Amino acid sequence: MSEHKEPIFLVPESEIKSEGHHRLVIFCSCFVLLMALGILNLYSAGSGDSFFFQHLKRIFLGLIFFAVFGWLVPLRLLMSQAYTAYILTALLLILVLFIGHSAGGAQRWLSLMGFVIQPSEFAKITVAMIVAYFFYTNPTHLAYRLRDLWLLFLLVGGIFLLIFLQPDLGTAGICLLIAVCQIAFIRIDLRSMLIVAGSSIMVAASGWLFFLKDYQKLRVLNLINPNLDPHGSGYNAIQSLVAIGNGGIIGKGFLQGTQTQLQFLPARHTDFIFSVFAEEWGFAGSFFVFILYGLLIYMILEIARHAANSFAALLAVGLGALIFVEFAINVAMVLGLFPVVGMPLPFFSFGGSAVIAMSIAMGMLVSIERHTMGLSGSKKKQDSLLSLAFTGFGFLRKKQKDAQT
Amino acid sequence: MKRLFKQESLVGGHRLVGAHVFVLVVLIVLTLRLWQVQILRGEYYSEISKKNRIRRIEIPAARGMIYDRDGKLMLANQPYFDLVFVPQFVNDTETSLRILSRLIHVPMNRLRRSLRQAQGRPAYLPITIKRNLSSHEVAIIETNKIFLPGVDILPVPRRDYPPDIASHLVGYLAEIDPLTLKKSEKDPGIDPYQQGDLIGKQGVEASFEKHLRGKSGYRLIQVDAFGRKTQPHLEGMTLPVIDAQKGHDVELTIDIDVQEAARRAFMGKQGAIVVVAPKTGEILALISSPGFDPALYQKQMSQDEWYAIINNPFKPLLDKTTGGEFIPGSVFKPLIGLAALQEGITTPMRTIRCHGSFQLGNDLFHCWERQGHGIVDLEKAIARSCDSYFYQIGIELGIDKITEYALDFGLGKRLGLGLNMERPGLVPSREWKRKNVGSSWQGGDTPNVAIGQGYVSMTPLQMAMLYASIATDGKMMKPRLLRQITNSIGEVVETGPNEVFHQSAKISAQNFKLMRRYLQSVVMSNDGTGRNASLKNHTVAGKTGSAQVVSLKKNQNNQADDTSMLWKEHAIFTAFSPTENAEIAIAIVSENDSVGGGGAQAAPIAKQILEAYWQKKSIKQPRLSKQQESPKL
Repeated sequence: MSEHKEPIFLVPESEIKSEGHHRLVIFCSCFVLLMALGILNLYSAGSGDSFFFQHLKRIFLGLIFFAVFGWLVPLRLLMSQAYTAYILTALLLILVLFIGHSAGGAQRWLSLMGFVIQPSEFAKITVAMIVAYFFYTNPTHLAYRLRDLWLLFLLVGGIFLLIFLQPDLGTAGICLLIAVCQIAFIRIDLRSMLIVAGSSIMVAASGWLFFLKDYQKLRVLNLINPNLDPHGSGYNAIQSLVAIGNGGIIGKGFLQGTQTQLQFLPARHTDFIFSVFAEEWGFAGSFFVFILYGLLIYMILEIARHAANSFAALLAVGLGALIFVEFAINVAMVLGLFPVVGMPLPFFSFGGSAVIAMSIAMGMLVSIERHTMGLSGSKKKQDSLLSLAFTGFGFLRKKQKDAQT
Repeated sequence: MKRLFKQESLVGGHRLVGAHVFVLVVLIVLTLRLWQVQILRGEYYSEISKKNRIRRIEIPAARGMIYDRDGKLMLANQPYFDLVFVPQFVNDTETSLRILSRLIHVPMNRLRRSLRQAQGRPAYLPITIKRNLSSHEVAIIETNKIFLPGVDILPVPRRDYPPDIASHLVGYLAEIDPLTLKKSEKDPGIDPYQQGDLIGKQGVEASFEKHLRGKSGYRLIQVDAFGRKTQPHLEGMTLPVIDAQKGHDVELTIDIDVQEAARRAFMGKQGAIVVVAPKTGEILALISSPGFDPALYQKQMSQDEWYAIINNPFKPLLDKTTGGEFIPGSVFKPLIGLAALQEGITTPMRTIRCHGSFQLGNDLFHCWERQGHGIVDLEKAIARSCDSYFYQIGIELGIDKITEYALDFGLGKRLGLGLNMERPGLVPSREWKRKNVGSSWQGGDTPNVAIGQGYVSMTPLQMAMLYASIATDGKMMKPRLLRQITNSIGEVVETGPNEVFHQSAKISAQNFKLMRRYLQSVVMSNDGTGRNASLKNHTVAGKTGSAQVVSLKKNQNNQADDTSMLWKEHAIFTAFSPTENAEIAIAIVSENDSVGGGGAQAAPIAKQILEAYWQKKSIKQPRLSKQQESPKL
């Protein structure tokens, strides 16, 4: 896939023929391929319903965000505005708690200027940014101890709590896991780690006893035996397995999955979208998707490895963790290896905020890589801040470029 | 310059390797699980998926039809509408039931019971909750179908009972009971029944159940998650439809004209009529009265209807032709006469004076004619049914000889008609009395047996067969109802064979001939007790009888007036015609109907039956083949 041929690409082609070039190409190829498969699959899941076209619009919007964050927003800006982003996210999350829309027993959505957004989706990115920024601004040559990290715990814990209160355990857990994945690359004092691990277990235990709603507990219990209650909470898990198993080696074919088309599969276009794919494309197609995800994660880790500074590296790790954790949990869930938690599959599931957030994350990764390649570090970055105000107006950039040449 | 940054990078070294390994392990685990689900257990899940969307709809088979010996239709089918309930597609059972209960006026408990009985069956199988809906009910349900997901109306072919059908002969159909259902599932020889299937419970329906039943087919349909039928365009497959196979048609030996004549002649009476063809053992007519309405069973009868049947003193459910044991009375006398002739105890010449009573020791036995018959020979004793004559020769014969001859006629055991609950009747003997009554045989018991009273009992079928065997020199054919069974394409599957049930070994043909002559004089002579049965153009031989219902002692008081209906004697008449080479033998038992004995009450009925038989014979009505009969569903 040759992203650089798109008109939005703003540097001369010769300039990016540097060593990072192939990473960017493979990374973007994986992203575009997954997105394309996702669109195709959603068409099947929705059987041509209106939400498919809705999704197409969001993908288009998402691609704009991808381009903006990838090629217009420099890493420096992300770094400097990390706290701004955090405060904005926290505000939105607090707003959700008061004036949000409810659906399915949780208050997760916010109406803003005609758009309905789910701030918790963006909070995942914010967590990745804030963790990266925290370690970037608090460097140490020794291992971090607990007292060094209290601010980080407060920041991440705040986001976690706000999402948990919606309640949305799945997303809250993802935020935590993103932070954990990032911290895994940091040297932490052993004793501090033990304390954290110990208290986590305590929190988890007390959470199970006092905070988890009954339906959430049931989901966990269902993992142990989905046949327990085939028409209750285990129904989804069973129908999902049936759909996947029905696919066999080569699948039933596009639009031919009986579990999907006859609507036996619940939440076909959201949480259980992978079952649709697995039924219609079989083991072969599913394995191909696994490879694409694997390749994507590998490329993200490569981007992180080559990143120019610890913020870029940690942000890349965080965003990679976001994609990987969501992928792994969603697929494990539909395969019956994990409780049914509300977890979208990146690039596949229907959901506006998730699509936009994922596009932004992918754009940020491009931005990091471009920074590594020294592209955004050129003199053009001087006016990046200014131009951010006019991100929508590509013609402005073009004019500038024209003027330069 | 870039290199410099890279060396400072956090992401590297063993932590990066760890991340790679972690990602790889997770991917491998997921891939293995995918392999397990899609490839190792793919078949299993495919099956579940099929079960999810494929629904099997039973197509009930039409039962075979029942024809008479001339191929005339006796019992056919007609489409009825059943209300069925498919649990899988009912979201809220209670609400659905409440709506249904209100719409069709069936108590909730009854609907719940139907559902309870069907517990443990696959949820997609329909449960019949009400049979034979009226067109009004069908309309109501169809209009309200939107509120009743999973409730359906199923057309089913079902018996179309004409009025006045011989209910004990054809029997009835009822929903299979759980015990039989379980048994049928274990028996590999028969197709398993489904809950709610109708099964033949009595009569021909039960006897030929396996032939009449047919084989139900099924249709597979594809449904979506909401139970809506969908077009199976997926996978380009067509779902199979296995047609139901109609049951085999049963052609009976019954002659519907004779049967109808008998029914009309017997109207208003209780009891039984058996008409047989002596040479073949074919049953020409069978009537047991009172009957019941078989349609009640088919549509699930109400409790009141059920109590009305079981509380009827005349036992409508009992088939009296084969299951009713009656004291034969004077109808038994020809057997004693034959035995006495054979043993040389009496001759056609021997006469006895009848005083109206007979003294044996301290006991006095009455003749039914209190004035006495005067001097009677055997012919007169038979024709006038003189009891005194038979008291005398009965005592001379002794109980052992009587038992011996009765058994020689094949009495005292089941004839094996295979219809309903056949009873064996009773031929008393010394041994029987010792075992069952607990006292030894008394001298006074023998005269009673000699006139067919006391311990002797016979079913109407046995009476008819006894006279049939007198007509055929002691060769008693095995009675049968089946002429042939044909399958749906007209091939004959089974025919009813002519089998000899019993051959009398003791009595000579000459004595049989003599007895036939005597029996003829019962009907044909002017003072014969059975003269009411005489015909103009054909000879008829017969014997009247009255069976005492209460004890002899009671009857001696001769207070017929103060005995209630139930205490009256049974009027019995047996006959065959013509006297030689008989084609038809009849036994009639009219219960509690003895105003004037068998001659007055039962003989005219025999006459009507015989007239119908001979009239039909004289017209020589061409036999209709059943293919010409327009088949009804």
